Amino acid sequence: MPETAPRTGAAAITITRPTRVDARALLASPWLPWALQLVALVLWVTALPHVRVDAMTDLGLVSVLPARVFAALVLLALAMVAAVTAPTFRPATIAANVALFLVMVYALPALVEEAPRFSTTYVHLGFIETIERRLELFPQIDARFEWPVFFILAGYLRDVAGIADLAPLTPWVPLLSNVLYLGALAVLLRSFTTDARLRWLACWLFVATNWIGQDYLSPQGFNILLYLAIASLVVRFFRARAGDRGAVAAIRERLVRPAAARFGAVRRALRLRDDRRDAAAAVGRRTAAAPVANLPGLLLVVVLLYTISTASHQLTPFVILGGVTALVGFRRITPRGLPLLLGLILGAWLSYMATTYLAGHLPAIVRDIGRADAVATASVAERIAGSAEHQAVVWLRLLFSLGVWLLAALGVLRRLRTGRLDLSAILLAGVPFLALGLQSYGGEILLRVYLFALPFVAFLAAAAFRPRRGRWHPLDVGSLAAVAVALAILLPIARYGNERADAFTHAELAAAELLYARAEPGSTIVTVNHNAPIGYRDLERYQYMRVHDQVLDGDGAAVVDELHAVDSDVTYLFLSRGQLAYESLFYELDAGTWDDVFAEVAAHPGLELVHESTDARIYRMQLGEAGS
Amino acid sequence: MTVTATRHGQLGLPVAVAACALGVLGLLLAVAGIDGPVRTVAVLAFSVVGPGLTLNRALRLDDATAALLAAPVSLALAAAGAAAAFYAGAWSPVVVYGALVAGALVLLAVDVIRRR
Repeated sequence: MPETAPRTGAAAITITRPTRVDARALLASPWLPWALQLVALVLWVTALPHVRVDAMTDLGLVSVLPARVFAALVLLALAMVAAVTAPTFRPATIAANVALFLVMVYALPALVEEAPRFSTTYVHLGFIETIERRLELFPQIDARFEWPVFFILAGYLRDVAGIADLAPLTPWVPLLSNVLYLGALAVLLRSFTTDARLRWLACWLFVATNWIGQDYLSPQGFNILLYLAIASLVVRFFRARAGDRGAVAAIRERLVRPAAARFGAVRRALRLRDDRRDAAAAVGRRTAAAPVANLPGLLLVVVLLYTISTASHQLTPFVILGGVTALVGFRRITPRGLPLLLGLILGAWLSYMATTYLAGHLPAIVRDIGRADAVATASVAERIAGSAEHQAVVWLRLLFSLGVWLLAALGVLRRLRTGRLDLSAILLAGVPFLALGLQSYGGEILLRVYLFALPFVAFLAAAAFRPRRGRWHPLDVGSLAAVAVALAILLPIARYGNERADAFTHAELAAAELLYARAEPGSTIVTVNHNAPIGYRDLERYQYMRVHDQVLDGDGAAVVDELHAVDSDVTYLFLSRGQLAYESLFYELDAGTWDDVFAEVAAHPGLELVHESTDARIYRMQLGEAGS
Repeated sequence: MTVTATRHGQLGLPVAVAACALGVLGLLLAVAGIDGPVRTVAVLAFSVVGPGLTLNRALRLDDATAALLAAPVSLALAAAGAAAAFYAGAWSPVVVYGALVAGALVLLAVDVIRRR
């Protein structure tokens, strides 16, 4: 800005100060998020060629990611904050941000790893191949054959699309799944709030906190989509009218008002806004001269979605039933007979289509009912094991999850202080926790609880930073930036913390191909644990056995005894890098013990080495030639 | 029991038409036994979007909701068709796919006629 100096003589001296950059204007610029996103993309793309997956430690993928990847994610998080707090909200900016975040995190393994990850992916490919080839089910081999509709669907799509091999496509399934989740989540969020910034922030938090990794080619990944679609439809189109009295009125009288009074917000609490009004506003905002939605038809769609869920996954239908029952019980939605109808569908499937599994496992299923504390403790305690680095990852996941839940709790309280009770979201976030009292689900129930609650928890967590429409408080912006940056850094660590075991190599895949090309139908395939890229074809033609306990004991003779005890003429022992990584990660087995055990096994006269590569070995043993 | 829905937008119909066109293309290629990326993309795009989008529009969901929920509804319809064929002992993916394409075309025609 030019400034004129006092006249001291005939000539006036003009002093020019450098122009100051207006920081506030810069931060408010619509170009700032785009610039940050562009820089983030460049950093990320240029970092990818430097990822050396084979140098991974027990910290997982993070141990081989260049710092530029994290810098890119941090910039992306800051761009999101700039976009969502900008004076003029531009949905396209944050939509691009969410899309970039999805690609940078969820497509990362597909771009840097040699082969499809997760041993379970290969088993699911095996279900698809076996069902399509044999056109029959084999529940005596695996219980998942009694919930086969996801595998039937995948086989149908593979066949009609003319895809020879599904495996190369599977690394991209998490990215696609999350794009589809976001679609259904967007509908759900429109029912919860009319505030577009809050909705987009919730979407961002959903993708930034989904560390569970169940979005691969799996029935549970497909069922999350069905769950979100059902929740969206019932909350949005079957809402009860605001003012309906019921359990919500009791809650408001007994819990919410006293709680709000403690926060010194009595007057606001007395005017608590019913979330059904928000839903009504969201649906009815643009209603002029609009046709009416066909509710009976939509109800049939809900029943269709639920039936497919019931026929494709063991756990999700129970969570959906619980959620719908809670919504009906608290008079959030109107079709009061819906829980009964859904219960009948579930009961019918279990009674007629899942009888083989139930007959053999009923005691195990009912054993955990009512033991919520034991189930939760086991789910946590059993996971804090393995190498020191792996334990650090597990602790991080626990703290990450607790942090997200605490944010959601804070969001509930902040919304209450502004007079809003998001009961539908609270119910749907809370119902999955009831599963703790029903099933341990093989020690995985806490993971599933986190995942089922996440869409609703993400909304409530977003509300912690933006409890109401209007101007952003600087403290909210600062805390949002801090949390967003933390999540962007921690998500890859939590999500890919097991990657040393989850990833597979070309050499392992080649060995598996050779195994199936050579193994005679009816032979037994022995592995140390499940963590190998096998089972993707001819599931019904082979028996599978594991010698995990014997290897962990360092007892090579016991491994040989197990090979003798199999019920087939020919046995193949399949050893691979991923199995050793699994034992090392989760049981601290060192490579020396592994080598000693299998040196002892290899010395057995009946064992023939039929394949050896950098990452795999295959031994063959024929009964009668095995020696004593 | 009725709910007032939002107006249909301008973009939904062209997307539904494009999805159905891809569905028909995929069906022709599948019937002819021509493999390749065109068939894969056409079939998968239709299967994820077409049946659900046309059904949602027929149920008079607003444009955005119909599009956002197209994938789960489409995949559920495909799963129902494939499972029905499997359990009936009449496994024929191309026939199931053809039925879904036909159903989507009928719903699209109803949608177009209703708007005129």
